[in-house]
Amino acid sequence: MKICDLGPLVSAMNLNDPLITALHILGNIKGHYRIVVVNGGGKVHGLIIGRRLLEILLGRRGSSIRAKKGFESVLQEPVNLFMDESYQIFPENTDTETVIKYMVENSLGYVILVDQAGAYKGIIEESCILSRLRGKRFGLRTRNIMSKNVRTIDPEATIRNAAQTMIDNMVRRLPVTLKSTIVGIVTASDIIRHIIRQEGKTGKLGLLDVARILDEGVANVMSQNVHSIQPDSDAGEALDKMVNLDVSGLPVVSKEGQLFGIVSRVDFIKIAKLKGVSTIVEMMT
Amino acid sequence: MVRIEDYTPIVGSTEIDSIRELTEHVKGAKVVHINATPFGGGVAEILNCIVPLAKSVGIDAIWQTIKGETDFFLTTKKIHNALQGDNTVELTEDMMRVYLGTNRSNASQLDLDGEVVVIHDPQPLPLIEGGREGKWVWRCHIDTSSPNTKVWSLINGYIKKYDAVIFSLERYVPRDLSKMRVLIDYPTIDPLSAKNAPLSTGEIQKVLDRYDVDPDRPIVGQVARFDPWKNPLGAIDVYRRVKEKIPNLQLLMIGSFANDDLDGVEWHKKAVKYAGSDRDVHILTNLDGVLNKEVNAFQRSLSVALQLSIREGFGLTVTEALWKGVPVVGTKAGGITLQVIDGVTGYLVESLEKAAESTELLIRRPWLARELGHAGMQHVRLNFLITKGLKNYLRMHIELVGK
Repeated sequence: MKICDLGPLVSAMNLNDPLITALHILGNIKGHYRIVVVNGGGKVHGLIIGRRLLEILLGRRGSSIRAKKGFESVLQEPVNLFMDESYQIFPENTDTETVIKYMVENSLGYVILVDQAGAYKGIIEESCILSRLRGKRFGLRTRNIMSKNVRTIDPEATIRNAAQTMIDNMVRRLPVTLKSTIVGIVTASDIIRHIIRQEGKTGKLGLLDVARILDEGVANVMSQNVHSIQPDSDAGEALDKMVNLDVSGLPVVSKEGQLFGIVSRVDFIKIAKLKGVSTIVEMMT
Repeated sequence: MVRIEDYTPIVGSTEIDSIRELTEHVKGAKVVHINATPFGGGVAEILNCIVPLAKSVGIDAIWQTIKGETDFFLTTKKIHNALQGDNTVELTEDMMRVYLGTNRSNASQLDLDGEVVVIHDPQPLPLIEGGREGKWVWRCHIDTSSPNTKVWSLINGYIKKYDAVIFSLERYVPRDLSKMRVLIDYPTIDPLSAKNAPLSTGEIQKVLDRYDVDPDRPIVGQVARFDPWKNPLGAIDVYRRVKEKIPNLQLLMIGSFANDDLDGVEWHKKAVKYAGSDRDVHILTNLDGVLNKEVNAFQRSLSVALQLSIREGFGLTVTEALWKGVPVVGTKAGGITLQVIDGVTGYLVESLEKAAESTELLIRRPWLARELGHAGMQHVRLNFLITKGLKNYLRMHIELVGK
């Protein structure tokens, strides 16, 4: 099986598109966290991710241009100035096992596929792999693959606090907890979506708008309907739940409601490490 | 003089256009780079390439090295080892005095008046103490994912004074720096440098003749500093195991003595002693006249390149070998796993025994080595060429002083 048979996601943006287009894509299309950036000829030039956009909104990136030209200008500058180079580019006809082994070896959540001429053919993300593992059971408990050190946030905290915590800890979701009980979950995409909605109301997005939104309580943006998984459930049930609900991660919670950890799509890597890549690829076919 | 247009046949005109667009935002910016050595090792290699290239697109880039006595470089080598995870290292007060004092005296002699000042690795890290203008960036080229905590706590206060830090891989970023502006920049190679530019078969043959290496017999080799982290003795062990099966095998071990690497002499001696009187083992350094062009020729002559590092920053010598179409047998250290795709561009191994098996396989099956070598070259072309490094470099400057 070739890696391109896994059904890569093919959306992309042009490197000369303004930065705000990236905010629109991540804010409006559910499930998006990474956007591949290509040129007019379809050649891959880089990648912009939700965390980078949060950094820009918080003024932790793009600060030089922001200081000289103002926040609104930053949003109109080409995404080329802010994106990251992409280093995980593979020919589309590469064998699936090879690519998954590479992702597992390097703990990567994605690879980008190109054709022989170097033109963009799609991005293979965790979701492409998880959807192939739907219904499978691994004989591993969710507690074996979850992350135990979970960063949480208080419902009284601001959206700014939540975004900063995500950036500092390189995570894209935070359970919102009150006295150790989960009352919600907030993701980088939730924050971006909330900010973009403001633009929809006023027709533009100014610094004051963003500052005001960032100072709102995190309760305004979190999802209250929190789906979770129990620590002793088979890891396959956790993957299924993430695919079926189209969410990128799930809190791992005991029957009594105690937060044990968090499991995310990229944890398929831990399953592959424990069960062997060949076994996982066999289960995918 | 290098020109950005010269890279068009390799990376395409759109990549060059993209670089030109980025350049417009930082043209004329004065950027000062400081490291510990003008040659030897990956940092000097990167600066040798990126500084002229940055100049060619209109950045006023300059590169200086700090000066120090033996005790300074012995101390900084200890710091280097500690940051890579050697928990036996302890820094005494005297060592810290030498480390800080040498940096203080260098600060008064160096041109630190840049819009951006990029300090490479721990040796010149405390230069930031001497008062400053412009934006300061600490570029860490080593694997600091699990540093010696005592030593880390002695130096991380200096790191936190910087405006930004750059690491080669995300997993190398120590958690206590997460509140800083952290940039990730994979190292890259320059396909037009003397180390990597195409060579004719005649030029390769001449170099082999000069050093009495037989071009008609298989050659394996490791290009790396003589340093315990690079496991030079392990490379000799692998060669010996393979030679039992393929008696006409030759081993090339190539390194250079950098100013800041005083252990290098000792480990070179150890390697020479360990190799004994085997005339098929060639241990060569810059002191034997092996410079960039010779390394290029030797790498091109290899049947298999070895990279048996115990710890590794990124492993640019792996990139170099792959770019030359040579498959690599490497350990799962640092950035080697990003470059050696197991069974596609070479083999990833967890023991010397496995390294020997994979090496023997590739020597016995030249068609397989050719296939892997070809895939390696393509992997480097897609991911690790200097034009990507230059774009990241320009974006860093846009981030700090962009117009």
